[in-house]
Amino acid sequence: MTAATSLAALLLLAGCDLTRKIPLLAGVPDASVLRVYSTIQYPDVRRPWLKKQPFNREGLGTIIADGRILVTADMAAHTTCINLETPDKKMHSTASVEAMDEECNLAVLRPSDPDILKDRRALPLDGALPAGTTLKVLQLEANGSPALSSATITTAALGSYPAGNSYLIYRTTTTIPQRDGSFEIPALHNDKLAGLVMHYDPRAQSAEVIPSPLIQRFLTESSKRGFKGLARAGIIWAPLRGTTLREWFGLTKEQGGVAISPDRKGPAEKAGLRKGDVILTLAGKTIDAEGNYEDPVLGKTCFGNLVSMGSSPGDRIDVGYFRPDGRGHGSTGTATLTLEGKSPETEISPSMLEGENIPHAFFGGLLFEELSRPFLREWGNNWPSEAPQNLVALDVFQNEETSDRRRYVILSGLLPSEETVGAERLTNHVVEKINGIPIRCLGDVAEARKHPAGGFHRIDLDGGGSIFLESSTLDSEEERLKSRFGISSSQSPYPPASFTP
Amino acid sequence: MRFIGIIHLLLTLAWIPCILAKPPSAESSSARSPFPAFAASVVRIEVTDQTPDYRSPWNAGHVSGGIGSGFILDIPGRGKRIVTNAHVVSNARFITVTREGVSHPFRAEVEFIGHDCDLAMVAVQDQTFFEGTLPLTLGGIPPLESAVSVYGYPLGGERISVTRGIVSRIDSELYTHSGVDSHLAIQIDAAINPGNSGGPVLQDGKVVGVAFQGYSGDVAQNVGFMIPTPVIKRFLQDLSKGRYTGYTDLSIAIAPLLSPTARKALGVPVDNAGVLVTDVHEKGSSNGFIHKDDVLLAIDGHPIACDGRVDLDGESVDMTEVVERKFEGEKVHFDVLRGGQRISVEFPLQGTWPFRMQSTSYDTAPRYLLYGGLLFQPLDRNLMDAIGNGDLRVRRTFDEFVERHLYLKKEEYVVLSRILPDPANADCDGLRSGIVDTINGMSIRSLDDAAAAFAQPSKYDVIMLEGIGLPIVLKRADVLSANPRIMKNYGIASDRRL
Repeated sequence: MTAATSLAALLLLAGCDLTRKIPLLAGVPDASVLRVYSTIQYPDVRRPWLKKQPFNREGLGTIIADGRILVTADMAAHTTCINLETPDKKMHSTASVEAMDEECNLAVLRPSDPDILKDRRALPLDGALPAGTTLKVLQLEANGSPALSSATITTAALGSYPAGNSYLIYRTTTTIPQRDGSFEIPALHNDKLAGLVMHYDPRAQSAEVIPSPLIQRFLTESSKRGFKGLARAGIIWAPLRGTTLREWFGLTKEQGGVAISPDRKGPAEKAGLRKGDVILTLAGKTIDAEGNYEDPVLGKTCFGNLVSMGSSPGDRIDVGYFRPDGRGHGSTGTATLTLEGKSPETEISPSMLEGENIPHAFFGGLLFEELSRPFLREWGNNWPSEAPQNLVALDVFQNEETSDRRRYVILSGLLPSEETVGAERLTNHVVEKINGIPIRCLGDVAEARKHPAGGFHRIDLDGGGSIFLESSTLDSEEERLKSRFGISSSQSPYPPASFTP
Repeated sequence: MRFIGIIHLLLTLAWIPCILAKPPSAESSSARSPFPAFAASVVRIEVTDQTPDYRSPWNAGHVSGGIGSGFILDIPGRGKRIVTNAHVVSNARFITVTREGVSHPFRAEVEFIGHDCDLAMVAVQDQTFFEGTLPLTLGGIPPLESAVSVYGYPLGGERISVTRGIVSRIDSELYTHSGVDSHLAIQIDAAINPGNSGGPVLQDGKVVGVAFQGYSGDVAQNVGFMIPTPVIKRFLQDLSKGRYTGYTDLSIAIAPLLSPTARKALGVPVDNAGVLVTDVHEKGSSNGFIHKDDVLLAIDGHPIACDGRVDLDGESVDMTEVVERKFEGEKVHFDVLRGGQRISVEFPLQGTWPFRMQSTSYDTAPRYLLYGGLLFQPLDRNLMDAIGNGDLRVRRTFDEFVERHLYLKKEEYVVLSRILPDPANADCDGLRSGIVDTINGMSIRSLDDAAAAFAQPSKYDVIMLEGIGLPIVLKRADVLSANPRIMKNYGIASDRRL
C-alpha cells in the first residue's frame, strides 16, 4: 500500500497519466476490444415521414465468443452505419446488428470482415459479483494502449434502464477520464467481462454497469428463434411495510410479501393474479416485505431478478400468494405463471417503437399516429408535465383502460387546408370513430376509409370534436397536400397493424 | 390562449405609501386641484385581508394589506355606494376609504361581491364621507380608438392619478380573479398599474369601465383591461333584489364550423353560419333541450356566424354574450338544425355549477377533516393551487371534472392531501396524495361521507384511494389516542370544518 502510494506520488510529479500505470491484467485487455463508430438516425415521431438528423457515437465493443462484438444497444439501435476499428487503427470493417434488445440495452454485432478479429481474443463472461468487488474499466489511448480505471461496486441491485425497464445494475464509484468520445466501454474483473458501462456521471463520480449475468441471459435468449426480450411476469409491485396493514390482512411479520398489480393481459393476469394480491414466494424463494429474496452471491436482491435473469420466456414459474378478502382476512394460493417476452398487445401505449418506421396514416390532410411513450418523449425529459396531459394520463393509466381498444390512435398533426381549418385545436386528441366505425388501432383507419356516408368522411375525436372531409376528393387532396409539403408518398399510407389480433 | 403573466392590479406592497406619500397637508386644499369635479368621486381603498391557507386549513391564514381604487355611484334605493373590483376587497378583514378632499380614512364594509365578474359594492356607514361628491354615471361601450382616462390610486399614492389611452380591443376575456369566467372586457393602452384596480375609466365624464387586470411588462406592453358597463350594469341589476346570484351558463361545448366542408356535410342552409354542439352537460341549462351534434344557427334571433360570433349593439361578440346579459330563470331561444330539420328551442337558464369547482373561491373558510394525522379536503381550485401539480390522478380529476362528466359520478371528490406524521400513521410513509374512493367500505362522495365513515364503530379504519390497490389501514384505538396528540403537536385548534 505504502509502495503504491509513493509510486503514485512519483508519477504525478513526473506528470504521467496515473491510470495507464495500473498493473495490467494477466491477459492483454486491448486484444479483446475494438473501436466502434456508429452513425445513428432516429425516426422523427412527430413527422413520421422524416428521419431526424444523423449523429455519431463512439465506443468500445467487446469481442465475445463466436466472432461477435458486444455493445450497448445505444450503439446499435437506429444505426445507419457501424464501423469497427482495431485499437491501433490499422484494420477496419463494417458491422451489422445480429441481435439487440433495447430494454436491457444490449446488442451483438457481426463484423463483415472476419479478418478484423485475427490476433484478437474473445473475452469470457464473469459470473455475478457482490458489492465491494473492484472492477477495471477499460479505455483506449489514442495510440491504442489500454487505460484502466478502478471501479468499485457499491450496490448490485435492480435499477432503471434507459427504456424504462428495471434490471440488475452494478452501481460503481469510479473516476473515468474523458476518452474515446464516450463512456460506452467494458468493465473487467479477473480477466473476464464483468459488464458494460452504460452511464457515467462525472459529477457524482459514479458509473452504472450492465452486469455480466444479465449479458449472459441476453446472449442465451437472443440466440433463440423469435426472441422478443427477456422474460417478464407482468407485475407492478409495492413494498408492504405497514405493520397495521399486515395485521389487518392477517399476515405475520415473518411472512414477508409485496402487494402487486398485474399488467393488463400479462402473464400474472392470465394466471389469475389480481390487483392487491400479496406475493409471498416466487420460484420457491421467499420474498420479504421489501421485495427481496436471498441470492447466494448478491445477497438480498429484488425478486424481479428471478424472472428477468433467472428464467426464459415460456418458463413456468410458481407464485405463492395471499389474497386479502378486504375484511381483515384472506386466503393463500399458488398460481403458475407462464413467463413471456415482450408482447406488444399488452401495451396500449407502447413503451418503445419497433423497427425504423413509425406507424402513421394520412387521411386527406390529417395525420394519425398511435400514442406511445416515444411520442410523449418528444416533449423532452420533462414530458410528464410538458406533454399534453390527456395523453400523459392515457399512457400512465393504460392498465385501467376498460374498452377493447388495442392502441390509442391520435390526430397527431394536420396539413392545413380549407377543409381542416379550425381543426388545429383537435390535434393530440384520441380518434374515437371514423364514419361511425370505432378506431381501436391504426389498422382500423383503412377499413373506415372505405365507408364514407353521404359523400363525406366524419372523424370523431374524444371530447366531442368532429372533422368532416369530402370523400370524392380525399385521395387527390391528400396527394396535393403531401406534394405541397414535400412529403414523399413512397411509404404505404396504412401500415398493417403492428400485431395480429 | 394562455394567460401566464397576467397580473392582478391590487397592490400588495403596503409599505409603498409610507415611503412615497406625505400626509395631505392643509395647504393642499388651498392649491386648486387640477382635476375635474368628479375626481372627488374616485376613492382610495385600503384593505387588510386574510388569505386562507389550504395547505394548513386549520390556520386562519396569512394577513396582508393592499390598496385599490373605487368610485362613487348613486344606487337607486340604496344611496351612495362605492363600486370596486371583487379582488380588491376579497377576504377582507378591515377596509378604509379616503378620497381627494377628505382628511381621514373612513371605515367601509363590503355589501355585495361578485367573484365571477370581479366586481364589489362597498358601503360607508358615515355618510359625511360622501359630502360634496357628485356620483358618477355609467356610459356605454366606447368605440375603438376613442380616448379614455383612467382614474385611481396606482402604486399606493395618496393623491389621485390619471392616465390616458385609447380603446384598443373589445372582446371576451378570461377574468383571472375566478380563473374560469370569461366576459366582455375592453383592452386599453393607458398605463394601468397595481392600485388602479377598481378605479373608473371615464369618457366624456361618464364611467365606461372599471380598470381590473393587465399583463406584466415582460409579457406585453401597454395592455390593460377594464370591465365594460354591460358587465357592471348586470352586476348592479343582479344585486338589486338584495343578493348577488351570479352568471348563468348554457353548459354546452361548441365548436366553430370554419370549414366549408363541415358546414356542407352537416347541411347548414346559411352560408358561413352555425356552430356545432360537441357536448351537453347533464346538470346544465341546455340538458334535454339541446343535443350533441345540433347546429346552432341563431340565439334570440341573432344569427350565429360560423366562428360563433353574433352582432350585438353593433359589436361582433361571442354568442355567449347574449346569455351573459341574462339572469337565472330567464329564457334563451335557439334556432337549431337537428337531423337536417330547422327547429326552435327555448329553455330557462341556470347557474354555472359544476364549473364553480374549478374557480378560485374567496371569503369562505376551507373545509377539511383531520383524522389520525391524515388530512382530507374537497377537490377544488384552491386546493389544487395549494398542493401544486404533484399527483397526476388528482390533477386529471380536477382538469377533466366537467369535460369527462365526472360530476355525475360524485358531487364532490375528497382528496387525501397531506399526512402529518405521527406513530398512528407510520404505515403511510411514501404516500403523498390521492383521491379517496372508499373508507371502511363506504363510497366517499363528500367530506361529510368521510366524517360519517370514521364515526362508525370499527376496529380498523381502511381507506382505499382511487387507482391504488393497497389500502391505508389505521388502528382505530391508535387514531383515537393520537388525535389529541397530533392537534397539540401541530398546533391545531379543530380537527374539522365540514
